[in-house]
Order: sequence, then structure tokens, then C-alpha cells
Amino acid sequence: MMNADRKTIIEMKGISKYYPGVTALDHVDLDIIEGEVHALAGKNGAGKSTLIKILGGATRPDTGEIFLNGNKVTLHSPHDSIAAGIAIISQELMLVPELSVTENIMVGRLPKTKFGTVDWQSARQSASEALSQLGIDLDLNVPVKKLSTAQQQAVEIAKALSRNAKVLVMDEPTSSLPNKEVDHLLDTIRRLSSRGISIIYITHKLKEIFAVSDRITVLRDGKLIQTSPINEINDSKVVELMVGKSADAMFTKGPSSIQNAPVLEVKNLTREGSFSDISFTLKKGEILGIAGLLGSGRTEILRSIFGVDPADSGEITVDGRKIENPTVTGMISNGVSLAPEDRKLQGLVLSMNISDNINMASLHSALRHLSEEKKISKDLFGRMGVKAPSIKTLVSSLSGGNQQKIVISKWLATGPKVVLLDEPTRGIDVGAKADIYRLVEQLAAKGVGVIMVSSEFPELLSVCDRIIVLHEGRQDAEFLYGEADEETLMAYASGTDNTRSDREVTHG
Amino acid sequence: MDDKKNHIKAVIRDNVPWIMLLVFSALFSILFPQFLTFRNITNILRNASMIGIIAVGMTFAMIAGTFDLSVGSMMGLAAIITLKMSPTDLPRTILTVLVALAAGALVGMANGLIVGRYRTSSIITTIGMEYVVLGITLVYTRGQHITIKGMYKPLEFIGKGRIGTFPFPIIIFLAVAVIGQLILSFTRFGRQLYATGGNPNTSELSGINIGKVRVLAYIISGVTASIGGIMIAARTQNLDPSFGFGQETDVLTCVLLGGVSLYGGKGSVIGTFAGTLLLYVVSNAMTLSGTAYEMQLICKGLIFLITVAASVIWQKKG
Repeated sequence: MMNADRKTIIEMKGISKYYPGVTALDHVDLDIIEGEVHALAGKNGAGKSTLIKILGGATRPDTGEIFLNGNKVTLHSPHDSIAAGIAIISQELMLVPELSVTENIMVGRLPKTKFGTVDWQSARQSASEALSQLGIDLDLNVPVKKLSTAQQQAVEIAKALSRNAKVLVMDEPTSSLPNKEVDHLLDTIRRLSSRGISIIYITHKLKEIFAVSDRITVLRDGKLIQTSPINEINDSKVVELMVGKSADAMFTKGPSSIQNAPVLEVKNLTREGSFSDISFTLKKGEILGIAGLLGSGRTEILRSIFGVDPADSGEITVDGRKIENPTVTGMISNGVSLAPEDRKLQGLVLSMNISDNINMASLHSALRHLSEEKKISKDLFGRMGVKAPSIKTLVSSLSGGNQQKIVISKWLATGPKVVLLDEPTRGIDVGAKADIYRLVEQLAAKGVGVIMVSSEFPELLSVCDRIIVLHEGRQDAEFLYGEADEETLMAYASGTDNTRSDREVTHG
Repeated sequence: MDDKKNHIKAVIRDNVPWIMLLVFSALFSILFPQFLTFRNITNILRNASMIGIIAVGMTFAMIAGTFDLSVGSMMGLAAIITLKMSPTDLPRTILTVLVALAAGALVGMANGLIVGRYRTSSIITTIGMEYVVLGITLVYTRGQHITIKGMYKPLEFIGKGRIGTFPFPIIIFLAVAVIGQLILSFTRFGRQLYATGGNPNTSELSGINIGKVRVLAYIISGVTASIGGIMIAARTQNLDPSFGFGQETDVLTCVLLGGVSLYGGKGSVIGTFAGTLLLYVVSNAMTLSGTAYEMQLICKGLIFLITVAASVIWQKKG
């Protein structure tokens, strides 16, 4: 375990990183002691990944210094970081699936014989030495695509070890592992730390943090909140530090504005492999939440209603009109709009300015009405409280929250009856989240039916009039505002028979 | 203060082709006394007109996020049609011009449908089309050199004519460029073109028929290739059957020099116009300095490569 006279191996001092409109890191200090397991905790957007990118040489800090064994270093590229003994094991493994275990471990450093050909014998020996440090036995000649995720992860770690890594950064290493493999991994981590290798461990799972780490650092909104030895803190304190004041807590729901007229009816909607038998009625002015985990079919349902990936069977009725063969263009003209999950890839054209983005779905005549476009975009720009120099600003330079406001503005410009919002607050800061909630409420007050899909259940609970819970593509339960709490939603969304052993922080 | 600085930076960035054109022209005026003469300048402009018109069309395809590398052969086919259909009187001339333009539109539509429907790489598809069109031209001419005698005078005028001392092709070039820029700036199609090239996913999810947008962009590119071909035929009246093949590189150089993005979504006809003049000013300077043809080819190739590299670096910077 920890030992006071162990030396500090990495010291990061006053690290800041600014992106347009966002402070990703704000003067963060972090020190890593030789052989320690240092947990890094924080919600999405807290700055963990930026910090790791800086350590991995993928991006450079705007301020601050990094010291390695007391010497100041500048990490210009991933190559510099590897050379400095820092290895990043990211969620998506950096392996070449077709190549063998040996080749993956030794990639870029395959030893040569005196004839210049590959010296396979010594390559295999080095690879197996690295694996044996992990206490893992693998067939070295098998292509890694045939290995399990846990085994592939081991290969990645072995690759780092064979490069003499002194610090391993593991980003959500257990997110794709089955439960029994998690224990193996934790054992491996303990074994590595006892050999003097430091590990920076990033996870959402508090149970793992308390099982394996020596110290914990909590980040929130780009700031360092606290670093402390693990035995001086408990899990509820960590959650409190991570969450701080949350957007849903800042938001108080006003009176519901549901009118007694249906605007969207969905009957027995089924799409093979995605969801089945989905039925609900959305009324004018209603805010309907769809709660579901990743892969529950939540996004697919919205895409089907919007005509992107039409359903195999079932009926969709908009404002009393039955829709045959829904298409995107058809749904838009029927007054339906979708703000998709991925703003940058599906919601915006980053190379265009704010005004062009806002107007792109509502250009009705072949010749443009420039004054009209300007009026619409200026109006929405103001109403939404978008923070940007002007309507001619490129959307690529806006922060996530402002970008989301532009996506929603684009749809408001079409005068929608139904607005489908897929994860509208993902990756945006607290203030902007509260803005989006208020906006949703204003829409409803004007009689627009809103469907909001989210994996952040607290926000659904505080914003929606009604929540449908999905589990594996089926409607599992339905609650009115105030009827359910986060635990209940989570229990239904994850399937009540599934006894989850660890506590997961779902705020992020 | 900072805002003002950024604003100036942005203005400079948006006008790099024009700034380069000015700098080079100034430099050549000093180096070569013949450069800044009315005769030489109109000469440059006239030479630039045909390829420039095609570059305007290619700008549309490129903004939509697709390449059109078939314009070289297409220009050739249109030129050969213009000579072979012997437009010696008005009715025959009208028919000839219509056939040449329709050929360009058809080839463009074929490009657009293949790229749009089957989502093939536009580079590969249009290179294939370049060969198909060349083949058609060779079959049509039976591989023979084509000349024409007694071309209808008004048709000859669009390639050779002068208004006063001012060559007429330049006026056509200007007109095509102005119309092109107006379409880009003031029509819904123009906006949809930028949106489609900038992010096809978002565009589709916003109700834009990106297939249709791309087909239209290719038709425009094909038709401008035909216009360029007709003008060259009218000017030379004497062509090799494989004329035009490979000239898409010149067109592409003009477009990229003009700041149109390799990845779509960015650019303008105004930029392409400057890019075209820039390329022809540089080749004119090489001629004035007595550079051998072989050296000129090497230089042109290098300009093309440097432009592509610069364009990629530029895009990465955002």
C-alpha cells in the first residue's frame, strides 16, 4: 500500500485548457505517486478526458506545467508520452484486430534478425514476458479479434508494459467487461501497483474506486474539487463532490400545459431488432419523457417516428392524420421535428454560420428571402439566449449548450407541432441545461407536444409530465410527474430481475 | 480590440486567392515589362475563360462534397460535337449547341445518379466516366482529327470574337461566374449545396434531398464543361479526338486555388474566379520568362500538389 517516502512520479501544476466557449480545465493540479492507484472521478464533461488527453500528448494545455520525476516536460505528441512511460488504455482499444497477440504487443518495435527479417522468436519471448507480468496466459499466435474483451484489454496492458510504461491511465476499463472479469482486472491492477507501476483509474463505478484505489481526485466543471486518501472519504461524499449543484435541482417545473387534444399517436410500432409494440398518445402541450438505457431502443423509436428508419409495422398519426410511409421530408411538413442525439454529426452543419443553420430546414421557396431569414434567425437567436458575437458566427465555434440551442432553433423555425429531443442536454454545462429545460417548458406552453429521450433520469423526473420507461425495446412502465424516483426508473429500465451489484452514478 | 483583430484576420482569410493574385501580378509587373499591357492582360483573361467557366461548374460539385473529374473528356466531347455536326447555318448551329449542352447535362446526371444512389466515391466514379466519355468521343470521330470549314459566324464569335479590342470569351466567363455566384448566394439550392457538402447527415435529417442536390450540381458541372468545349471548338475549329482528356487537373487547380474545400461545404465562385486568374497569371509569367514547355508542365504539377496540400492543412485549421 501507500508509503510516505515513495516519490512523486508525475506532477501536473495549474493545468488549464480552453475550447471555444468552454473552459475544459481550470488550473488543475494533480500528482501521481509511484505505485499508487489514483482514481479520477467526475461526471461527463468534468474534464477527466481532457486531463487524460493532455497526459497522453494528444492535446496541449493552455497553461500549466507537467513534471516527470521532478523534471519539467512538454508532451508534444502521443509519442512523447509513450517515451516518457505514460500509457493510455482507452475505452476503445487500440489494437489491430487481424494481427496476432505477439504482433499487437510488439507493434512498431518488432525485433529484427541480422538479415533484416522479423525475429519472431525474440518477439514472442518479449510478448510472453509482458503477459506473464499480468499473470495471464494467452496463445500468442491467435489474432486478437478472436479474444474476449477482457483478453484484448490484457494485450493492450501488456503492450504498455513491454514499452516500460511507468504510469498506466485506464479510462473506464470495466465498462465493457462482464462482472467476473472485473474482479480479474482489479487483481491485475493491484499486482501492477505492487510492482511500482502507478495507475490512474477513471470510472463511474464507485464500488471499483473503493475496492482498488489509494487516493481519489474529484473533478467538476473543469475544476479540481478535492484530492484525498481513499480511507478518508466515503461514497456518498464522492457523489456529493461530483454532482455539486445539479441543473435539475436548479429547475422547478411550472404548471403543466397539457391540452386535451392528441397531437401524436403511436400504435403498436415495431422495428425488428430495435423495439416492439410501442404505443402512446402525446397531447398538445405535453412533455413526455422516454427513459431507457443505451440500446433500449429509445433513439430508434424517435428515428422511426421521424421517418429516418421507418418501422416494420404499426401506425403513426400526427394531428389526426394517419401517416403512410413516413419520410423525413413528409414528417417535417406534417410538423414533426427531431433534434438528434449527436449535435455535431447529425444536428448541425459546422461549416455554416448560425443563421444558415437555423434556416436550413425551412427554406420554402426557390429564391431566398434574405430579410426573412435574418428576421427569423435574429428572433430565435435572441429568444434562445444564444451566446455568440452575431448570427454570422460559425456554429463550430460555439459551446455545446449554444450549439444545442441552434439545433432547436432550426426546428422552431419550421413551426413544429411535435418536437422530438434525443439527449438534448448531453455534454452541455449546468447553466445551459437549465436553459434547455425552460425552453422545453415554453414550447409546451405554446401547445407543442414534446418527447424527450434521456439517460439522465433526474432531468426527466424534473421536466416531464409523464415518463415511459423502456427496457430492451419494450414499454416497461409509465409514470406521471411526481410518481416515480430515480431508483424506480432505473429498476425498470435495467429490468427488475437484474440485481445490480454495484452502484452506478447515473447523473453523468 | 480582439474582435477587431479577429475580424481583420477573417477578412484576410476569406480573400487569400485575391490577395495572392494581387501579389503575384505586382511581382510579375516588376519582373516582366510586357506583363502589365492591355494586350497581355486580355490575352490571359481570354485563355482563362474556357477552363474558368468549367471551374465555375466544378465549384458547384465540390461545394456539394463531390469531385467531378470527368469534365476534361466532357469538354472534349462537346467540342468535337460542335465541329462534327457542321454548324454552318443558324438552324444547324442551334441544334449543335443544344446537343452539346444536352450531352454535358446527361453525363452530369449519370455521374450524379451513380454517386448519389450507390454512394460510390465520386473520385473513382468520375474518373471512370472520364474514360467512358473519351471512348465515346473516339468512336464518334473514328479516331480522326476533326476540322470544320465555314463555321456559322455568330458561333465563331463566341470563341474568337472581340468587342472593340476586348475578347468576347471573357464576357461569357464573367457572365457565367456572376450567374454562378448569384445561384450560390441567393437560392435555396445554393444553401442546400453548402449544407449537403458540409454535413450530409444533418442535411438529410433536415429534409434536404441530398441525392437531388448532388445530381443538380453534377448537371451544372457537365453543362459548364460543354460550354467550355463549344467555345474552344469555336476558337480553334481544329481538334484532336482525344482533346480535353486530362484537363480536369487544370480545372481542379483553379477551384482549389480559389479556396473551395476538398471536403465540401466551403467555397465560392468569386474565389474560383480568382483562383483561375491566379493559375493563368502564373503560366503567363512562365511563358513571358521563356520557360520551356516541359518545365511549365512540371511547375503546373507542382502548383497543383502544393495547392492540394495547402488546402488540406487549411481545412484542418478549420
